[in-house]
Amino acid sequence: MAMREDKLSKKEKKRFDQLPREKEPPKKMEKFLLHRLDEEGLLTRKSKKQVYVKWAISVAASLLLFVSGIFYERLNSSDIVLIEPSKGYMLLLHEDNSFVPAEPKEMFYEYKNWMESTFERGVKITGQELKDEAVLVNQDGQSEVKNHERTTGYFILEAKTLGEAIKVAQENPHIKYGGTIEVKQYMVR
Amino acid sequence: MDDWTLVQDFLNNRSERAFMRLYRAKTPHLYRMALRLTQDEYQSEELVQEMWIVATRKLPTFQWKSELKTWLIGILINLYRSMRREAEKKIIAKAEQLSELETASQSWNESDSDLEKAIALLPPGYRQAIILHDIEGYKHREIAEILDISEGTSKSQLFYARKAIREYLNDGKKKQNGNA
Repeated sequence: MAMREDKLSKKEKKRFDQLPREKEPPKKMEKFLLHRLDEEGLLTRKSKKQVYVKWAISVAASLLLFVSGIFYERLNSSDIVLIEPSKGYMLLLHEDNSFVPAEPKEMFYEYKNWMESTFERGVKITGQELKDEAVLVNQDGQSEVKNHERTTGYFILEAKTLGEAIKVAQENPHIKYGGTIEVKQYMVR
Repeated sequence: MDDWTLVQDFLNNRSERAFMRLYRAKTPHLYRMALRLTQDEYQSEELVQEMWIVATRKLPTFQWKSELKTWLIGILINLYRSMRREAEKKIIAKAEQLSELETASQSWNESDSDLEKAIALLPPGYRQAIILHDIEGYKHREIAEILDISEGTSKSQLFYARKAIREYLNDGKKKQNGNA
């Protein structure tokens, strides 16, 4: 490097300019911080939100089970959603840092409406929210999943075609909030 | 969304959603800086969290006389310096552990860059000066304000920081040449 005591040389400046300026913080930090802000009263409506808002999918999933019971009862006199394997599809809900949830109440009704409209057109569906924590198990043992992208929930549904399953996925509010949905068809042998 | 809108959006309702927008827009930069300052992931996480706690308390009185980023960096660095002062107080009683802690605190280095390594080895004052001036692009006047030091001190710290980095990089070169 050329040396000039009072000024960086072009080469030196270039090296500094090439240093990365950003790094994504760990996801857990976000959670801890929100918890602290909540505790210190720096955010509005907290503890309820934590349960009700943040995990709107969970609430929605519970509702879905409830709703599915009613709908299925009308159709089959049963409170269990049974999926015909040859028509089975799984929707895997993924999120990364671009996912920005809305207000809890707003999300709740959106998911509720989505589920109801799905049932109303005869698509049987059920689902569940998943926790962020995940473990990878392989021949070497196990390790924590530290992927930037998280799988935060799933739905299973019965559809006539892949196109119908995709249409259901496209209408899910998860997409609108910046999430992605992976559509997978059951393998039947 | 610009900084002003992000802040106003948050101050209007203090919702989690508005905060997350602000947090996600600003934190990657601040977290990187915290890692360079502390050279430790755990301390960086603590530092950035504490910074946001302070910032959310003070945001209603932020006057926009500087960029939001500069204001946040100021909070971050002042907290870092407080953290160091607290750590030093504890260490005085156990002076013999200082070198061990210094070594431990330099555990973060995800980069193979010689320059990053050289920055990591600088004393904290020099490190702050070179990060703010040569990486972040602040002027000595701004650094003096952020760090609450004189411009002369800022210039002096930058001078010695660059000198130390050049020596480190030149030593590395000599070793490489010697091995060749």
